[in-house]
Amino acid sequence: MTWELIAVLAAITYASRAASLVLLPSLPHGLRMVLDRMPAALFAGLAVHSVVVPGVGLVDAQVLAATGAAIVAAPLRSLPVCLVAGVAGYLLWGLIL
Amino acid sequence: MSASEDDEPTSTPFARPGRSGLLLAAAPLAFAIGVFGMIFGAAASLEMDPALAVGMSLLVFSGTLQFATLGLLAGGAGVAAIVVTALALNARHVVLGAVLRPKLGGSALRRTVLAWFMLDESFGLALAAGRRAAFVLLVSGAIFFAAWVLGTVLGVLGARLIAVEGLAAALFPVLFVGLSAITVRGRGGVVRVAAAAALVLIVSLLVPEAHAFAPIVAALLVALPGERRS
Repeated sequence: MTWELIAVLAAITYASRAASLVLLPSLPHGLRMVLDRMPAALFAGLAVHSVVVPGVGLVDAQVLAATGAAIVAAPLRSLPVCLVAGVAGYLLWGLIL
Repeated sequence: MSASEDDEPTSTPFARPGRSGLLLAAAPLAFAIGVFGMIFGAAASLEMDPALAVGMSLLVFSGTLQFATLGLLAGGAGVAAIVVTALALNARHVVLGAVLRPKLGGSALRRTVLAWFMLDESFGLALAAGRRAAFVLLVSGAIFFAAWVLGTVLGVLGARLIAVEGLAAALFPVLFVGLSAITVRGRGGVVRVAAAAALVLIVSLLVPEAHAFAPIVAALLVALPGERRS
């Protein structure tokens, strides 16, 4: 790791954040509707992304228990509640097994 | 699927209105981000100079990318692989920014500053905050930035929270489930969430090379069907 590589990664990351937030013109309604539907699906995909070992399978059962508990709490639509449920699921699984 | 069903959020992520509600919502996330930062700092100091580890958190400010970079470095990957991974993982920011852009308003200079604070967690809170999106993005983003950098510094200095290190691996999926929960809209949105999750699972298991791109591609695929006009 070098300062040059950090600078490149920082530039890519900031540019990706600023690109549409700063430069994007007003979008057509149809495209905006498609974009509006993406975040929840994207976050769900990232949740799965973080519990899968590519080409191998799923991560350990305790992490899956935490994820499952968060999914159970998801209908309450509260980030802190999901977090607490996930931690509770993780600890409970550890106590049981 | 009707347009109104897609457009209307069904609740707010804040238990209380106003600033105290925002702080209550941000506090547990900030704690989790601080723990991630600490683990990153401890792990990074094995792979790089401690100053570089702290500098990376200060300048890159992206837990997902920083942990991925650590994994690649440990596996002996080259600069090209790290840069490609950065492009793949950060592609989601373009989508998130496009969704949040109409809710922020203000000058380009103001949005240039706000862009620094747009990470997954602050985006989720800001999107759910409606008219207060810019304020929520700024305040929560600043809190998360401080937690991330402070956690990294403590990790580099040797601090360890042994009790929560195992738990940290579970916090990523749990946070993303929570973010999905507060940004999903309507029953159609729930169906899309389930479809995207299934797609990512299948692609990650069957086509491991597409693992990094799978979430953004799946989100786009499930977002396309449905009403396009009001």
